[in-house]
Amino acid sequence: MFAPGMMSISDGITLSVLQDDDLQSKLKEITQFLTDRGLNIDVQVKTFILAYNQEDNQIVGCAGLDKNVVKCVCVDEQFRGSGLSVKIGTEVIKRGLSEGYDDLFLYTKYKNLKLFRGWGFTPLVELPDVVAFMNYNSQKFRDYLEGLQTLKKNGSRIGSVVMNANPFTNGHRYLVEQASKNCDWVHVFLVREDVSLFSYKTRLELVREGLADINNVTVHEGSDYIISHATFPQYFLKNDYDVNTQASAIDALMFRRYIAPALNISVRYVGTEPLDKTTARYNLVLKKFLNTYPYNAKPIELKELERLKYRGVVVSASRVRRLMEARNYEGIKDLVPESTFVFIKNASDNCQKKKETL
Amino acid sequence: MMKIKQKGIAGTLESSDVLVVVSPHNEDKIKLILQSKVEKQYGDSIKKTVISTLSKCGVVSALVDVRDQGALDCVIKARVETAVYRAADEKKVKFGELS
Repeated sequence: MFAPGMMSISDGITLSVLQDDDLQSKLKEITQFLTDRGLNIDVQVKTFILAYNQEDNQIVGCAGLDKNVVKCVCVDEQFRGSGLSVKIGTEVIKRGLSEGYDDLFLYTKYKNLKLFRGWGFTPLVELPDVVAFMNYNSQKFRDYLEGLQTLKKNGSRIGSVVMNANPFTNGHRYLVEQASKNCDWVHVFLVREDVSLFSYKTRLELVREGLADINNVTVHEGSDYIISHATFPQYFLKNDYDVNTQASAIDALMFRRYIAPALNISVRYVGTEPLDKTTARYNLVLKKFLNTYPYNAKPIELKELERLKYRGVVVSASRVRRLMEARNYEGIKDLVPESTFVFIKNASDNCQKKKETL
Repeated sequence: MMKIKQKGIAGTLESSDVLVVVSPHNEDKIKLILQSKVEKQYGDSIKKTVISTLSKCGVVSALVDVRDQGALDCVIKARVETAVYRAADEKKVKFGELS
């Protein structure tokens, strides 16, 4: 008899799907299995597919799923070439798709690319001999790019800005304004991931309102294919200051190879911040992979603009959030457009009211 | 007519099998995506089998993703049928009646 979520497959191997408490209880075993084979466990993985040898009840293979990203794939050397990998692959793909994701992603060492082709994954961008970034649903990606192409504008200099805008400040506004003065059109992309203080919906609204009066700007909704949980996992792990160069490179190459050509974008604008080492390093990597790195796609110019300052200090979303925490609303007024200020003020008033009635 | 309400998945990626994913589509037609390692030789025949199975099931609107690893026609039929039943959330399955 098998426990729920277990299935017997041929050759004395059992596959099981683990989540929550079941996963917790096996975590040590999985970690050991991976570290013995030179891999690390990823704490973001919430679902594991495990293959057990029925003879000795030892793990012989595994694959993890962190939302729409497949991670921690490993098959014991003895079982490689036995078709076990494809069985594990089938399960992890079915699990991901049935959780509601239309496309799945993975990073792999370049040398394992072929294995994942066998799972139906296609390489999107790669650093030869280092890493490849692959997705499962090529059609979904084609549809997305076709959608972008319908928003293409004519001009010799088409600019772009990618922002999280948590929340939208005068700093964001300044960057787009400068870009709009120097370009025929500017495409603004909003990071879709909902892990920030301000919800995606609010961020989008405030960006749209804050840029409404600039007439050569398009605000695009974010997607899985641009600074997302999939293309750039480290971006969302703020405690990890050691920004992973590979992930930044992959994200930059995705932009250069697919997003930019779809909209005829030739330049990307970013703000500089001499004091923030993480940003500085990120911009350096961005510059390399958008521009100088030899790659089968047109180079994109990276234009770094010195960030807007107010009373000698850079205007940033984090500065606004700190002021919110200190309930210094007057201080926020000078850093954000009217629309953002009204939203913050209303939200805080509502909060106050709720507390009074409690 | 069978309405596709959710994602329905059937099959595997193993050799001689096929993985079929049937999802709701926002248009009243079938959008079929086929990837097969024998696409050059049998692509058209596989598509024909998938389309005719869908029509026998009474499906008029669906996104159908077919990843074929060299499955026989009867396997393709069975996988498509099962994926459709799961996608339609249909419990009263009458397998075999369609063929």
